[in-house]
Amino acid sequence: MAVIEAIETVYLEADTASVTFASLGSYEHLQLRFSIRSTYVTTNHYESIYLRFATGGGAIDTGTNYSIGQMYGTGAGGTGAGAAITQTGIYVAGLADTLAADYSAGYGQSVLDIFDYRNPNKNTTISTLNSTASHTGGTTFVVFASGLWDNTGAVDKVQLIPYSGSDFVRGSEFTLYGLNSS
Amino acid sequence: MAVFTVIDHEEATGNITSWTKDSIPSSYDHLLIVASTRGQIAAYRDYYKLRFNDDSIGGSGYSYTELEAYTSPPVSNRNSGQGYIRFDGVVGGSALADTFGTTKIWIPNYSQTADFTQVFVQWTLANNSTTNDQWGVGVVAGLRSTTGAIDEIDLGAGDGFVEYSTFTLYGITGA
Repeated sequence: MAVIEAIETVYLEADTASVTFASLGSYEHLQLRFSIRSTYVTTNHYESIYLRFATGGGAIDTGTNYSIGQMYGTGAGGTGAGAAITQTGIYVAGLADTLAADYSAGYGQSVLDIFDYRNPNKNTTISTLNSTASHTGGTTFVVFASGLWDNTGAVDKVQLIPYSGSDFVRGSEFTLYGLNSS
Repeated sequence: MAVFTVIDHEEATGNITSWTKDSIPSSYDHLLIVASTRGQIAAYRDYYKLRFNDDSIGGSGYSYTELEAYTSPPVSNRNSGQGYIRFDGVVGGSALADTFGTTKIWIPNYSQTADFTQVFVQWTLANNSTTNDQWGVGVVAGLRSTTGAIDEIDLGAGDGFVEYSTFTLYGITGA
């Protein structure tokens, strides 16, 4: 058995409201890699993505059970950091759509690790490195963040959904990997 | 040939002082440690102590540069002449129960003998708090300024780790 295995890749052939991975297998850790853009139109070109979980065969938890901490750089805007609690998802950086043609081919990208997602003695914690580069301006981000789901249940679903309630655009791609520990 | 190989995995069954792996084969190109840890310390966080090849903890062969945030803005520091590479990522007892920090440690070209050993670390202190210093994130560049292949890793914490802390060491092979 390979130590790292691709569980599933989702490539969007049409604009889509959310992406859910519902067959996570039995690994030690999970890793998500995604290249995404949303239909949200904003002059900032910036969108957040909510990461949410489910356990015990239940529905995705949309309660205020998530927390995050992050530090970021925004180019000319400098650097910053902050934390947030009682969130309805772990928000990570993504690239928003815009009317400007310069951005029509731009996607934000992330490498996101979900640690010990099946361990019944641990809340689910993540770390993620994200970027939303752009060619001509707007608010761009390089972000390193932590996330916490206040639930010790084994994660059996992972959902990503644009923070604004818009759609992921066609061409967004998500791959979920599993990392074994033996 | 597989790219990733599990060299070692440990889940602490009680309080432990450190995780150590010796006799690491030289047959891989890089090493990766993935750790999910909580410390015995009563405060909100504790720090790791990363050493190689049984170097003296009182020595001076390590240096590291940090970019980290416990509030805004992030700050950067450099320390040299240290006995170990120090970085946070161990959640302490004052943080939310059942919550463990996340850490990834890359050790590239660990078996080469001509140059010093470089380390790159990403750590997070997850917590359900917005209060300064009760959460944190950071990245670290570390250096062991001694030549020689790495065949032993010791990853300790200031006050040790608690039960359920996990450590996985991967060997990564190139083409």
